[in-house]
Amino acid sequence: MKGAFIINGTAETYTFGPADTMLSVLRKNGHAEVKSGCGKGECGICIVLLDGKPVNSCQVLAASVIGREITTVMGIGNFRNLNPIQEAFVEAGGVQCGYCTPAKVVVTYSLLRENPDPSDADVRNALDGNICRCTGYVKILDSVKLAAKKLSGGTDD
Amino acid sequence: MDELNWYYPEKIQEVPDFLKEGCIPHGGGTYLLKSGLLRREAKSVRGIIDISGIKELKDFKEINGRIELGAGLTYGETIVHVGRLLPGSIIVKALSGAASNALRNRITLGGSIASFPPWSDLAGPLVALDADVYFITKDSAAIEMISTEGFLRMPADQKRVFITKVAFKSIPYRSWYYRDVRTRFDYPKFTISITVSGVGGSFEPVVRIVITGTKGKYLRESAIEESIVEILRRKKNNGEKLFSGSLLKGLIDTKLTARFQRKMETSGEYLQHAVSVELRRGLEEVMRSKM
Repeated sequence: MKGAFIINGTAETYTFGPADTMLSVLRKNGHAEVKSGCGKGECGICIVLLDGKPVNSCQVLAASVIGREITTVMGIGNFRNLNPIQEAFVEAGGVQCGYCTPAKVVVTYSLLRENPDPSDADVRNALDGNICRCTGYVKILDSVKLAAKKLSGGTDD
Repeated sequence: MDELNWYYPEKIQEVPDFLKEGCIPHGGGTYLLKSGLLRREAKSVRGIIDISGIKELKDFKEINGRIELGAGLTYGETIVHVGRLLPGSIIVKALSGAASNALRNRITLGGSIASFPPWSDLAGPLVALDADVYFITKDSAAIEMISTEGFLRMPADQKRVFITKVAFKSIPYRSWYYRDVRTRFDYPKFTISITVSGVGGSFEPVVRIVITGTKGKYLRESAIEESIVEILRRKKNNGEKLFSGSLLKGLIDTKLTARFQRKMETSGEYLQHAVSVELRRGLEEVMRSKM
């Protein structure tokens, strides 16, 4: 079957099977920035934004989201033009191997759009499905708080 | 799988025809994917009915003293809608801890009610709220209603229905919810839902205690419920000082019926003990809390 999606603001049409997940469709079509993990919705590595809300792309059948907006980390910032959220993850040491980072960045982006000044509990709640196997979570929480400061125009010290 | 078709109805009345053809409904898709249903029943599934285009299923209403939640609402949407109206609702408490943020944006009420999978955290609160489930069958687009308890008791083959909404009374009540997990993302080994209404007012007190994860899909602790109601009725008290820890412990030790099978590294006896401890804590807290 065929379906058009708005991916990072651009309309793209893909061919896919009726039981294909959004994760496999995105990766087969060059969106390698969406990482593949457990395939069960448990690790959060593959999270993208669907109409602005975080979803596990491995748990979304592509046929169910035809015509909708999907945002990957490349829609938020890239190597040449980092988003302040990405800068914050680097500066606060929230990245170790980096495999889980794209998903954490998109979840943080969604959180800070809805809630520019989140409490620690809000951050934990937003990132409760994003597993990191390398590091602890303290630096990741610090990264989100720093990102909030950067986006609100505050200083980072 | 190539012949598997997707259908996109816009009205509930279109759904029975698809059900007759052997199609299965798709809300958020998490149950279809996590249960392996698409793989297991690939040959028998004739098609998938995507319900996201049926606007009615996204309705949230407070009408005639009842709160109605469309079956297409995700957990995330339900938390927002119910949370605005009833911030302390047991539904908000339960769903906020279920699964993860990203999954709560996909899991729908209808999908969870249809299958009540172990990760859903929904069965206990709905029974505790005495909620009704509305559905249609493949034979009729006329909407039928059944209590959540009645729905849970239905044989599996009769449960192949299409859930349209769930509704419960919009009345003040105290509530408490507990999910037994090692880490937040775990599936709960058991859950406890308690609702208490009509205390200190002109209505009869109603207490509902529901435990899930037991040998059946859920269990009402009716004997404990009745004992608490009896004490409330006799004393005409709001319950705050009436229920000491020792009184509740005695009630639970003598009347608790929940029994568990062994689960992973946990024995049934341990789970039964854990339930008795948490239930006492819950009852103490709910009797102290305000409506």
